Amino acid sequence: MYCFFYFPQNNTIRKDDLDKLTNKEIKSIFVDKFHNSTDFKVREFVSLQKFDSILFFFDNIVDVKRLDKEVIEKLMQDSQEVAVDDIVNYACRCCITVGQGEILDTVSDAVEKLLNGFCVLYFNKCGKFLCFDVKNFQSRSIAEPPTSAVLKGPREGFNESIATNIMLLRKRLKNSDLVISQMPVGKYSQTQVAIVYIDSIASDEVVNKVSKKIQEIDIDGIIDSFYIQKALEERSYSLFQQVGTAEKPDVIMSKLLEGRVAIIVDGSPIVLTVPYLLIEDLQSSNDYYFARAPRVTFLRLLRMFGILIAIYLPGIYVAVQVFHYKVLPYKFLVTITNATLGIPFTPLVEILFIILLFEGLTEASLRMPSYLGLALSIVGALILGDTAVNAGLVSSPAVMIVALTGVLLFTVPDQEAQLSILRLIFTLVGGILGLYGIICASVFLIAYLTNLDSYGTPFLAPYAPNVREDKKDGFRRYDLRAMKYRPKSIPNKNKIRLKKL
Amino acid sequence: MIKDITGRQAIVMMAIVMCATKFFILPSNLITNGHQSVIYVMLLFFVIEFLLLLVMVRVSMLHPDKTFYQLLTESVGVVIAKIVYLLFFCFFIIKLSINIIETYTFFLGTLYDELSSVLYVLPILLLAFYMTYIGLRSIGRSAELLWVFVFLGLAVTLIVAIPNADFGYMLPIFDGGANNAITILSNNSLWFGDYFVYLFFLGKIKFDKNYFPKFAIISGLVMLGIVFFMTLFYCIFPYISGIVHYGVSDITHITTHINNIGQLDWLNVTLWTFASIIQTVIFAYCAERCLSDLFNIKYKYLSSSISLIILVVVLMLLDFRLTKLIMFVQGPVHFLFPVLLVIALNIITVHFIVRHKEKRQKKLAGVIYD
Repeated sequence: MYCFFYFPQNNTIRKDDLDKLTNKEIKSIFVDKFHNSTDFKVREFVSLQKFDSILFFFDNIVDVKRLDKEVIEKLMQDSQEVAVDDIVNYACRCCITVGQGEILDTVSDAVEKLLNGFCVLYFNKCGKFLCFDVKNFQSRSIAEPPTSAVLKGPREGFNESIATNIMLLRKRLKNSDLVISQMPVGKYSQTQVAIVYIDSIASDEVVNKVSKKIQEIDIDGIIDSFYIQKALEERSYSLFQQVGTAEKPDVIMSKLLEGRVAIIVDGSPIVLTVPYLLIEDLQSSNDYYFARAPRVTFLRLLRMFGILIAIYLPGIYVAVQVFHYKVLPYKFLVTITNATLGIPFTPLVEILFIILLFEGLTEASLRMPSYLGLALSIVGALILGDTAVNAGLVSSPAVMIVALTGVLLFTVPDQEAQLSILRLIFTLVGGILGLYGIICASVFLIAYLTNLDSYGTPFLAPYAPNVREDKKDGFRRYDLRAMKYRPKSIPNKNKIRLKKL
Repeated sequence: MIKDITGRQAIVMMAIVMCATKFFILPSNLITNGHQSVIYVMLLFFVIEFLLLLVMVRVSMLHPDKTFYQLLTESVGVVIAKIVYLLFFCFFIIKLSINIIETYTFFLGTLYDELSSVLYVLPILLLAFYMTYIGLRSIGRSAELLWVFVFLGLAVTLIVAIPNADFGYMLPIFDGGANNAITILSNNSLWFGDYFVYLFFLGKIKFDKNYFPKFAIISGLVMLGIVFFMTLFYCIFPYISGIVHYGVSDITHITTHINNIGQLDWLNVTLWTFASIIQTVIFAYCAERCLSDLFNIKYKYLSSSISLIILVVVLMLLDFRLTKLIMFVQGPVHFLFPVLLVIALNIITVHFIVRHKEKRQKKLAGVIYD
């Protein structure tokens, strides 16, 4: 059986023909393959003082010093008598001192290795390639991620290197059951994607499903883990994400120990996890490290109320002003009426105007250079806000409500994007249909969320459906000693996680 | 058979369905003419409903994998099963009409100065269509999530209203006459019988531990809660109950000792709206199931759309008016409830006779071959 290699220049080489090729021919194949790319280097030298050898590598992604010292120098200085058939084995086992080496039979394998930071060595007419890992990809140092800072607790965060990220996990989970299954994804980018799970805990069904979904991806390139997230989501058009994200190894470790599967993507510090529950975003690393259980319960309820106020308050305010002014106590009604007297817009238009203004300021502050931040604050808060109120264009209660909800959206930063859309929807519904519309929209939202599943796990678990055991880490958090079992909502093989503490 | 809902979800749904619209216009409607005697008769009425419901629960536990339609066809044949389903379909369409018109009137009287019937009915129909389409699993989970708010509303109502009630008005028992009370209740019987929806959960419940006692306790408490609410309503408005139309709102509205914390009745109305919507959705689901089994419609969206279109036609015929609805419910269709009651009783009796015979035969066969 023959194996064919396709080259853009229409030259097809049979596997059996490889040992007939000279260094010159091999060199031309590789140079053509990489279209005379200037960073592709070819070094010809004599190994073991008699074998013409040729070394291929990419200049900027390998450690040239290591290459010189541990490969070229060793081969050139060695004078052992070796037969032509044994040269590859000898060089690999007795000569070259680089840790990771591999013997390859095909040009396409050699090309793949070269692109991943390996150097490839070919001995004249020997028919095999020898490759060594001398890569030197530069990456950011390990630092605390800006999106998930903790007061007391581990501060390490993932960076863009998949090797570093796997190292950070291996360092924490020193167990032979920790499985890392790596594969390249993307026709052009060949981005390394690693599926990480604990074999004795994670459900095989979930692992297989994730693996299948990743293998089925046919795309030009994976630029960030978000691309994989889209492929993993069962309803990718949904407003709500169905895949968890984290930037810290301690968080991923705890999720792996609960039976989840993690997906690390080279080039992204964001690690994905499935199955995902909505309640995950209400939980913070801080909840587990220093705060006592009652305090955590209080904080989680605060976050929950924060979310509810953030999405409902503008809608209720508009609904009350337009339809249900009688709902307000008399003194409150007088205050609101006085504040809104003379405003040229309807309550709905007024609130929508301020919301859009606020969203615009938020977007601008994200994109604007940091040294202009102070100026933006002054323009946004003082000039736009204060002047608009003084000019009688908008009322103070409306500005206050939008500002309050804008701040409260960030009590759960991972859901901020979804919540701001919901705030807009509920405001519109409140302005058109009043409280009845808001209630209908709420039931619709709840029905929609209860219908969402993430890899066999109900999105709103442990509350809908009710899973009593899992509620111990829900809105009310129990002491660590009470959490003896892994979450039932997440499929897993091993139920018990704590026997004695 | 896929188990769509858990036992807990079934209990919660039943609890919401049984009490959702009984606190709006019904108290005023019943008590105006029957006085306190209606409440005592209603208590007896609930005892019968309670027992019937428990029998249904027992049947569902004996046949965990059979739907109501399968049970019916096995015990009485396809033709009678289809006739029963047709009657049930009419029942649920009327229940939906009662629910929607009553809630619309309630909103007009409490929340809004003006509300277009089209604007009111459109969101609820869309919601009913969507939730019916996505299925019982989602309805069950939504009910499970919302029941806390609904019963919080009920608890607040009862607690806040108790100080204003003079329970002396409940005596003497049967002051207005028991016969009169029975007539009033039978005329308004279509406001009751919500427990029939349980039949459409058959075969879809994943039974939890201690399901039966939990179900009995919760449904019993809900029924007692309704009776207690009616009692409170009568004891607060003994002479003017006829003109106090919106029970759940008005009962807290007049409470003077909480005026300093705002108008609690609004919160109450809002919370009860959730219950009313869940009830509407469950009735829509049952109507869809009836239509689907009646004509073997495979596509949910089709059966759901047809049942909702029929509902819209009924609503248009009733002109969205409560007076027309009451006349309709007390007139041409009030036979429906007793008929269904008799059917349900018969089906259950037949089922137990068949089951008893089967058991006896098995026992005899066991004796012979042992």
